[in-house]
Amino acid sequence: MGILTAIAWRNLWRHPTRTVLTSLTMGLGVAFCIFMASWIGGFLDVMRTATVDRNLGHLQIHHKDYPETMNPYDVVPQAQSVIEGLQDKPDVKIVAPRIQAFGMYAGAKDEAASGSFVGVDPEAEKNLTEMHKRVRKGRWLKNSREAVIGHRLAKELNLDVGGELLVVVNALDGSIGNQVYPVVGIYNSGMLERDGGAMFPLQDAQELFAMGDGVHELVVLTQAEEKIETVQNSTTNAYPDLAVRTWYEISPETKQMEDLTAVTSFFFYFIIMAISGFMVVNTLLMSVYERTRELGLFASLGLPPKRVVMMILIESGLLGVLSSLLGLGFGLLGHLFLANYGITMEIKEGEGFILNGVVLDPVIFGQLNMTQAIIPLVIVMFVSVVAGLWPARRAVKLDPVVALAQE
Amino acid sequence: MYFIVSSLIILSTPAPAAAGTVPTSDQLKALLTQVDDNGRSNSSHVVMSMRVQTKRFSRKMKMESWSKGKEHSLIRLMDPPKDRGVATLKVGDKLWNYLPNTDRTMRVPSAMMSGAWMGSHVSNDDLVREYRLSEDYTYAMAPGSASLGSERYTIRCTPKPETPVVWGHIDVTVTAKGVPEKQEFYSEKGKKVRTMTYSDVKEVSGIQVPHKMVIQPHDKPNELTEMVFHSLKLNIPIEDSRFSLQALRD
Amino acid sequence: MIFRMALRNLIRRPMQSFLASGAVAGCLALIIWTCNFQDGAWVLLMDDTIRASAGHVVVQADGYQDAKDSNLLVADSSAIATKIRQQNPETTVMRRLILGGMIASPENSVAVGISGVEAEAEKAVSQIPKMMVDGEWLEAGTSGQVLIGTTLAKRLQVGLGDKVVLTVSYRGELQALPFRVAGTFTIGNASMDNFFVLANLPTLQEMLPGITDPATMISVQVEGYKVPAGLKASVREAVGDGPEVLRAEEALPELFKAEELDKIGGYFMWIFIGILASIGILNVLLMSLFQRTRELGMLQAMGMRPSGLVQLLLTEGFLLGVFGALLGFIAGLAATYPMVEYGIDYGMINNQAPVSGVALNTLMKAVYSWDKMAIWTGFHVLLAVLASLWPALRAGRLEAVESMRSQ
Repeated sequence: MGILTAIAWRNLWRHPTRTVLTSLTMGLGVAFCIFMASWIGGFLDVMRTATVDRNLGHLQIHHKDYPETMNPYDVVPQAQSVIEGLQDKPDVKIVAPRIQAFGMYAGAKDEAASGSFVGVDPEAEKNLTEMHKRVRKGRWLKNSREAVIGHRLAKELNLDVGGELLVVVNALDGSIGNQVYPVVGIYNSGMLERDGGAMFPLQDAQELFAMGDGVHELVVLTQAEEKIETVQNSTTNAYPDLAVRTWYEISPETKQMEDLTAVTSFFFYFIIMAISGFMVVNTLLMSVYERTRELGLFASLGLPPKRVVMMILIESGLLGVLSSLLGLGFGLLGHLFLANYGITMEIKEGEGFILNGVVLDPVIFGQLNMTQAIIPLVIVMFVSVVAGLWPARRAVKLDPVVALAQE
Repeated sequence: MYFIVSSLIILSTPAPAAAGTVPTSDQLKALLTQVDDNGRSNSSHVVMSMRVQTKRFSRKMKMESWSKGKEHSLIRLMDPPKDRGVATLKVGDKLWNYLPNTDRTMRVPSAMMSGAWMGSHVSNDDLVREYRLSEDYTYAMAPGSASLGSERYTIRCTPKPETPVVWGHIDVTVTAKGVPEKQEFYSEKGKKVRTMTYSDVKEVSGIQVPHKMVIQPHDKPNELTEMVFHSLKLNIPIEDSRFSLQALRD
Repeated sequence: MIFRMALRNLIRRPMQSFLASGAVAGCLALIIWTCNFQDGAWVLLMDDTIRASAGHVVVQADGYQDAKDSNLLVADSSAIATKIRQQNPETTVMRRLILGGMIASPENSVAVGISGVEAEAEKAVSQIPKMMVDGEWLEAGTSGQVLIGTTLAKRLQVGLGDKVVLTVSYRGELQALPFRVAGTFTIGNASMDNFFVLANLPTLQEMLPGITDPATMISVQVEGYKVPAGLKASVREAVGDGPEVLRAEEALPELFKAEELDKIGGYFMWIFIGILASIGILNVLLMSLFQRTRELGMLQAMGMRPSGLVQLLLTEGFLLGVFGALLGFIAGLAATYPMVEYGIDYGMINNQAPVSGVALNTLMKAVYSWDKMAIWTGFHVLLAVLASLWPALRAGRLEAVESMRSQ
């Protein structure tokens, strides 16, 4: 084995140009796969951030009819005790209550616009969705009796920070809830629907809708992605009358987008690997042809065919290792570049692609997990060893006499 | 709201249908015109209470309303104290709300027209939309009308194809004198969707007017909206300026 | 002479020649296939979106593009459409009227967006006819037909043939008309299935008071998806001053920006695959030529001038390149063919289109991008010649004795 490896290694460096070029081909393939993985990871992260981190949270809890009806009367029963129960769970990081409804809004004029109405616990929302970082002008909610409005509503009503927002809603007791709040901030949440509406402190929203301490939605952030289903199951068991849904049940589009992206990237891996594999087969076949005489010599000297096969496979394996190292090096370099500088995909100023009514961030920074970096390495090793099989078989089948007679 | 008031007020002129006989088409039309036309060219002032009973809440309001012709009406809440002064103005097909605790008026945006008015079983859109049974519908005696005896008829009004109402037909039960007792609204599949019942008929300015109306949605059996007139004045002079945004604030 | 010699050399060592040209062919085929497929996906997306939501050139009321205000309408639209048709007989001209409003059934009423379309023309460009669940697409000349999403139908509790009342809002006035549900569709996007209503243009036009023959847009469409250079000017001439006339790029800037970004990403990838392929091909050719150092030395010893050697090797490289490119081109075409004819329905992987706002076809088909195929084919021939340049130059410098000694 040691000798075979030594021979194989020596064989590789008999033609340094060829070996370097071959491993460069495969190495670049690997590097490209790693770079792509980093890019796709970054893109999915941007998408995840926009939908999950900025809005959905990990889990959402509603009245069991709410997901279907969106009826403002379907509030979470005993929300306060549910919140406390959840907060006691070690896997739960944040629980944020929300009121989701529609309101009519007006600025200084009579003409009104209708849009989404979201009541939030300013502190919890800050920790959960970091909405305070999405305020483009003014500040995030702090005190009671104030409002932050979406940039689209601000434009529609020609309303600025410091102005007064009239909000009128159909309260749950049948009355017309109405109030004027000072606008303390204008936000750009990236969600088209929410940006056409306004957000209010929870208590003010409850008062306006005359809904006591009712809430429509509890948004839960768990300690880790893996805990989502654990928390979902335990919550469902504790409160069988509630609808407890994960973010990917609420927004299957996002999940599907991730799956689609995974399929697409698999497709590109395949192409890269097909090209690299082709190159390895080519290189090794050539090298077998070239060494027909030498291999014939081995055979005539009584080297068992198994060992010849072994030698060639070791050769191709070494080529694979070399390629992997090169690829890992280049790939990580590319990833580091992407992770540090990012690539701007700007559709509009400051805005990236729009998916399902959610505006993505324009700059995509590389994101790579180790599995994604290792998979192409494994593939390239596999491809090079498998690619070595054909030439190896050929070498074994050589008739020593014919082989020795060659040139 | 014209809709509310006109549904209740019936001119006292006796219908040209003689009791005990099957009315002719012209007589049916005259009856329906009465149901349609109550004080349409006239004006009214009414103080009434409205009770809304839903699965979710029950609510009682007292309100005052002025109307003039088809185009103008103004309604203002007197009670409960929380909502005192809240007012709705209708001019043509436009609606404004006045909200006293913010001292602001706001035109109801078209996207919100499908919303319930004051929590009742009447939508904002119902308030501004009005169709005439005698013109926008075709009518005939409803099957089973004869069993009601000779004092009342049930007239089946089917919207003409071009009439933009959602109903399949409306069965209007009216006394031989032209006072409405009941309107039943059906979908095209023949499902009864809502019923309006009139009762407590009193004479005002020589006109027979039911003073109580109940709207009942059939898909929500325990819900209803009930309106009761406490005082009603008809054909009184009202300035046009009462139906203005300025007056809405007063 | 040199040509025949080169050809004979190649034929003499069929396996090596085949491997070398196979490398060229394999890379080229893969690149061609992917190129055609990627272009196909974009052509489809662009084509669908341009046709369904704007046009190659679109005429709208002045200011509509910025404000997207449904009160901004073009009057006398069919007169304008006729003028455009006369001026540009090769185009398809269709009008759309897009309004906000409400749809009501005995059971419910819902705020919706209403599109009035010309049934026949729209059927050819819209994806919705393919997404019908129940009933039929709109029939030209039949008034009072409406198509709604299945989700909306459920909310309204209506089915085929049932009456609904549409109320549209125009300049603050509300107008209502009864319609009958002529069909229901499922686009797959929850908000669209809940919000999107289609009706015949003439019926909807009748609902708007005070404006004759109004349309939100007059869409001018041509064959293919590229906007002809003179079309906008010609449409502007037909339309006269007043309304805005926009090319697809101006009407749908975000779509084009997205395409541009994706294309840049694509170029980056092609360049990379190109590099990968080049290195591979260089490698194979280098190998096959280096092997023959001895033979070349012999030729030199027999009196062939270095320049002749260079020519011989370049010719061999060229022949290999041409042969490989031809093979690759044919293989690429063959691989593209089923994708053009049948395509891949990514609906199988992903039940709904991941882009919001447009009803998308989920069947992805490839197109033959002849220009790209030509460029890549030429590039591969060039690559083969370039790859043989290095060994050729080396061979030209070889001392006869030295090369005779090698191997």
